[in-house]
Amino acid sequence: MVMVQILVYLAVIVFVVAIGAKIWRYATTPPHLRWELAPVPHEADKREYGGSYFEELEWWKSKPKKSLVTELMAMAEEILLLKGVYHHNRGLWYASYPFHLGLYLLVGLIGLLIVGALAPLAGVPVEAASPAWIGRAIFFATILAGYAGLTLALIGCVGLLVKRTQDPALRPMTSTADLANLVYILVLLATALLAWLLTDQTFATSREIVSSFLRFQNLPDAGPIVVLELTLFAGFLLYMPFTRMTHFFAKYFTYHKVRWEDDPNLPGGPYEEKMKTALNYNVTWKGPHVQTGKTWVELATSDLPSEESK
Amino acid sequence: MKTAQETKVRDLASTTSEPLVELDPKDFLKLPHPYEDWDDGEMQKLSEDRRKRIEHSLDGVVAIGIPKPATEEEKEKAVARFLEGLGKLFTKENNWTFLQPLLLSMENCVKCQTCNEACHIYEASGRAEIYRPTFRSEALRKIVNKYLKPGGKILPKFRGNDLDLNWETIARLAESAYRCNLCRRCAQTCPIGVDNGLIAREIRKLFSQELGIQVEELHGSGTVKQLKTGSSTGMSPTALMDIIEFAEDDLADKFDRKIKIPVDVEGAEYLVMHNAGEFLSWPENLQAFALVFDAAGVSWTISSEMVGYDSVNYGLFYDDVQLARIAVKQAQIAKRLKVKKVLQGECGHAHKAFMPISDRILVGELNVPRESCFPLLEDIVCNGRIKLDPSRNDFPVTLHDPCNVVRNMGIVEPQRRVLRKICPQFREMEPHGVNNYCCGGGSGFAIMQGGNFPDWRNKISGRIKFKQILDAFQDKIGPETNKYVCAPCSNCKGQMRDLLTYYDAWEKCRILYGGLVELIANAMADLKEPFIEWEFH
Repeated sequence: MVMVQILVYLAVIVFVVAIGAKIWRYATTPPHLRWELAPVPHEADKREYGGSYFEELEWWKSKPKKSLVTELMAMAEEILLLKGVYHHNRGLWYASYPFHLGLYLLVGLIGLLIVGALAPLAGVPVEAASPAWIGRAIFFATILAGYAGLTLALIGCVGLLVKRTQDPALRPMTSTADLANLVYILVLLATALLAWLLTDQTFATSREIVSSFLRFQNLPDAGPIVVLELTLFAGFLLYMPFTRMTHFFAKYFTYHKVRWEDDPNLPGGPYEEKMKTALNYNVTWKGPHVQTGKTWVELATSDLPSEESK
Repeated sequence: MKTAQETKVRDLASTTSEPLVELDPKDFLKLPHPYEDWDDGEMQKLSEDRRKRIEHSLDGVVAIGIPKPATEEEKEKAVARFLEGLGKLFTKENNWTFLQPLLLSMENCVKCQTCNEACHIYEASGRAEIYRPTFRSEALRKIVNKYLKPGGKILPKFRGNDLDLNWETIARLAESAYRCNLCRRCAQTCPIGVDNGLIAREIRKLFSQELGIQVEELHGSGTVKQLKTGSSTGMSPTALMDIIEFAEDDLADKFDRKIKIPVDVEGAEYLVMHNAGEFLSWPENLQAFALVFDAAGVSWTISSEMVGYDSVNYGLFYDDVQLARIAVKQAQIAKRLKVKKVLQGECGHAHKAFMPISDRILVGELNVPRESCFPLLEDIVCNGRIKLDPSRNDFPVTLHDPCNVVRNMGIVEPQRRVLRKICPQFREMEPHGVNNYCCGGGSGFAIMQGGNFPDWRNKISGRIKFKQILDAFQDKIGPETNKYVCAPCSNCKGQMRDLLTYYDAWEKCRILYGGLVELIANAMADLKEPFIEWEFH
């Protein structure tokens, strides 16, 4: 068990560092040229039809009417219901939605296991007959999230495998690695389901394991299937940040920093200052109309090279 | 040869110089009445001589016209240069302009294909694989993963990095970037927010900024000519003055209106920037603006300074350096004229290039206020600033939404409010607004007239738009009723002209096209003659 425990610690560290590095990379790119795409949901009065403040005369003179509520609603629909897939790719949604909903529940399960592992330290036993209602709530919510999450994710995963191998639109664009990833997740989910059904129906052992991880104590001996489950889970954490599955956080950037980012560059506003650095980068493109070595400002304000303007 | 539906991304590396696919018009989207039996004939073939000299190995169609390299050494040099440029796309110094959106789109596509059916080119072609919106993006991704990332050549087939890089690959990729209108309808549907239109533009940019490979109409006869002569049409300031004089004479002759079109008026409220193509191909657009603004008492001017009288900025379609050069020149001219704001005329890409896209490069004194013509026209029409008689427009009218104005800027309703007010038989296309389909001429296609590209554009990229037009007018589709497609964008109008000509829609259905302001002028109650002339041009 010690080896497994070390592996899981290592996997968590790799996962956090790799994800953090990727987030840092996206977050620290220079401000780009505007590339918004209608509809922009924070447009308070015009979102229904996709309108923007450009519909107003002298739009720069009034503060745009932005609504955080409508933006949050659009996000919620996309995250919780996979609205885009539902409307534009219904066949895939039937597999993708249970898969994602299952994963959300399983992330919730991890949260509940952590809370459940810590609760006894606060004097709250987590069990069916716990004297504290919160202990009972955590107990039953864990069971619900665990089994519902696993069942939905398993159904969805099988569905995605079928779609990826059978659908004429998906098949040519699916690599062996894509299929291997789905198979790996399927085996991980099936192993977890088997482990819980055979050895840990109420997740009590899982809470003990999580508690041991959190307190840096030796894991309880939970049997070979749990060892397999933990090993597979660690493996997943190790490779996941290096795949396209990072779309779970990249979506924040694609939506909020590209599609919905419509902040105008007003005179004296924050963008004027931000652009100074970018506009002074030296360009090394070698096309004949580009003068290599000049800054963007110099290029934009210079005439064409003489050989181009002939 | 594989069918158009069987091609794989890895086939881009096939070393044959013949096209990967042969397009069969029998596969193309069927058109409604009265085009049930329309025969597209065969796809136009290149001449034997051009086939020998010019790269056409994607689909037999030529947009760029890349000369075939004479030696293996030339090919290898080009491939090395391509890889060098590809690396630059991912550096902040060379590509801060779009680095974040590019990284996000390259690294997070889950290949769910949710975007596929949103693409009018993919659908109209009968779902030819090479036009699938994810096809070229996936090709670029495979190259990046295999040739730029550490360990990219380990287990390439297993990881899907199975596209080899050779001359044929990059030649096909370059052409492929010009089989996308950059309309971004696919991006709208992507649940992740991946943007295949952006990737197509980045590919164009890489070829332009690193290898000097561009479409002649966009670069040499486009941005270079504009910077050199003042306009991509080649129109000099002297020629502009002649055109303005002609427009004034025409207004006087036809409508008995003595209007002086203001030129270089310092301190005017609006510097109106038109696509100079309007002056040559559709001078009635300039005249209609003059009539309406004169009647409404708008303070406006046109610039006679080079680049200032042409709102065009084709850099938007393929090159950030050229985009910046033109935008800066236009802003400098507005500043020199001391106008209160710049007004974009009916040109979609000029709207997008000068308003949102250039927004962050126009800093300091170049940050001049910029406004669209549509809210102003709405103000004039809907607030009774001129006297209008809607019965003068009592014929079926439908509205084409230019992607750059609508989907990319969110200017959706002002033009509709105008049409609802002055066109009793206005009807929408389906889908419309931000969900519209591109006319098929977007991203420069409308002005690309070389080789067999127009044939491809008419048969494929414009096909769904033509279907939408027919559908909108089905209740009065016969030639006994004059009908009007309002396309308030110069490039869209160019595409409409070509589409309606190709499908013979004026003769068969009496469908005319034009802008929005022409309809407003046509509804002016005190104009002695109708403004719109029902003659196809």
